[in-house]
Amino acid sequence: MILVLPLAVLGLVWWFVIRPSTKRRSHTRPDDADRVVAPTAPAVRHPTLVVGPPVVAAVVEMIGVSKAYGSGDRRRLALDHLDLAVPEGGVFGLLGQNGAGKTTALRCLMGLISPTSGTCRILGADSGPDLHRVINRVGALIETPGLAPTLSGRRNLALLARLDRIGESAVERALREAGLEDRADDPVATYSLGMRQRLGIATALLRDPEVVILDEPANGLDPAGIAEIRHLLISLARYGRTVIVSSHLLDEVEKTCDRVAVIDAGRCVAVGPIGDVLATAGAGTLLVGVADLGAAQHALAAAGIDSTVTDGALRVRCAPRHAAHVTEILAAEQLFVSELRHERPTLEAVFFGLTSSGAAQDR
Amino acid sequence: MTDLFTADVHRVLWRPLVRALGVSAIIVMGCVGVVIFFHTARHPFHTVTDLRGALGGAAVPLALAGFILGASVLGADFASRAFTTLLIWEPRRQRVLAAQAAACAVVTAVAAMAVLAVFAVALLPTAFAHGVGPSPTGTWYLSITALALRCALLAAAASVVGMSLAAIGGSTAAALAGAGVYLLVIEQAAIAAAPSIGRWLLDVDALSWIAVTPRPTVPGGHTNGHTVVAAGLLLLTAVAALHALATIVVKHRDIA
Repeated sequence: MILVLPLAVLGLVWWFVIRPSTKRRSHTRPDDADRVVAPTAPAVRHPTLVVGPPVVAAVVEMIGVSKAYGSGDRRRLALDHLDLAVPEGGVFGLLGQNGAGKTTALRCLMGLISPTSGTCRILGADSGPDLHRVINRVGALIETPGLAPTLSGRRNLALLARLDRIGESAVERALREAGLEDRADDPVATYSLGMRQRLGIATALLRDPEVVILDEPANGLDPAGIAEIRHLLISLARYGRTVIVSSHLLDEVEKTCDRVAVIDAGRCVAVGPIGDVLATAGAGTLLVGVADLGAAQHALAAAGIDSTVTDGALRVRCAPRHAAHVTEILAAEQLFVSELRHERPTLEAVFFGLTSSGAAQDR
Repeated sequence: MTDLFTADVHRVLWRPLVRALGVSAIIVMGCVGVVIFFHTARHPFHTVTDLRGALGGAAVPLALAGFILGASVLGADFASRAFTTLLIWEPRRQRVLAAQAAACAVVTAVAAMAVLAVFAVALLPTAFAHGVGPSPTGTWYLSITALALRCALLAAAASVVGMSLAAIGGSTAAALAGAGVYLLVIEQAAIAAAPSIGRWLLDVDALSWIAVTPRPTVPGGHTNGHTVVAAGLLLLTAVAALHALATIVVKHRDIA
């Protein structure tokens, strides 16, 4: 009898906890760390808009990664055959709306959750069994920082530093970089959301890592704090670090990142250098100031040029080099231009064009 | 691994609940010493037997405190996501869990020894003023030290059990509920179904481990409990098995 109960418990744990996980893990591919990886792999079921040259020698790779929660009718795919390849150096942005799968992807990368299928690698090591080989070269902040609330910020960092036998000077450097020197000796429980976020960033920087992974680092920060973090990320990249940052702040990603991957419903819908991704939206528009907007639109339409009237201005869909032609057409109709400005495409426009939130907006 | 253990010891010691438990235990033991002093003014205090009985009686609350400490350490780490941060620094979950178990066990054992020392000191005035019977001998001092060590080890084992249940259940509340279900439902049902099973139950073996007499009668009254050594080995096996189960569960669980 005394043996039956533990055996029954073990059996239940095997059936409900271990067996599903081992089934999931069996889908992972064999090791092929030295392979040159393009951002798109044949296994991808959904097309990804790839712009710019393919990535070689990626420091972070996700190959056909899927993550499902629930089962049967309640099964939900958080990641759907996600493929990513992050090259060495620079700031790589993971862009997506809330619930798109950015945090899930980063959790898979850091080995916190097991993908249902696919492979994640950091610095050539599989995120599952081999992550410990390279973990001292990686710093990460996933969601909100989890730290002991009764300890001071400095004490929290010192305890983490002890794990890697990192000196006190590294703790001070991380506090300085995160802008937390003044409150470093206060208990974390007294910190504001922004200060906790800074402390989380300090933990990610403590090891002076080659790869820095930050999940929504600007959460809870005021505009000045966001600007500081932006400068910090850019300076980290300038000194050769690879920074991966997830965000839903389109403007920040545009200002900070060299490359970007747009994630939507667990899929990567576009990836490449940010300039190239922006270029996919076309050459932009010409904003034309004119007294009679309706007549101007009619005149341009007669010349075969599309335009729209929004926010009290005429927006003409054409390249800047055609500006002279536009003014010529309008002047011929006695419509004189008071303002003429080129509006380049924004990441926001690209994002809404690529993702389901854009479709929702259209509706 | 030693770095992980050292860091965990620091984190355990800095927890407010741990400090509150330690201070409360010392105050309670001091108060009990005072109560016994006044109580023995009218009733005889047999120094050799009563002192040993008092120290043995402290084992149960110490084990309970150890269990709460262990469960709360990991439960709080899950709740505050400090466990996630630890895994980002050391992804080998079995190491993280083993270091936390070791830290909980060591802190609990040392704290229990300290509390028992305070209790013994609190009983000294009673022994000197109201003590009767034969004087303590060298053998008695050895046996009382061994008893204190066994109490401390039991509290340490309880903290590992608490931590392991919290790891399996994912929270402090789950650990407390699990212990309650085991003690109040599973053990009672087992004894009702087969009284002879009593000597194999964990709480009976825990009592046998700290027993003053080697083989106490167990619930059901049919069989005797295990010897101190056998009970100790059974408890050790149970704790190790539970910790192994917790390690397997945590290793395969998605961590938020």
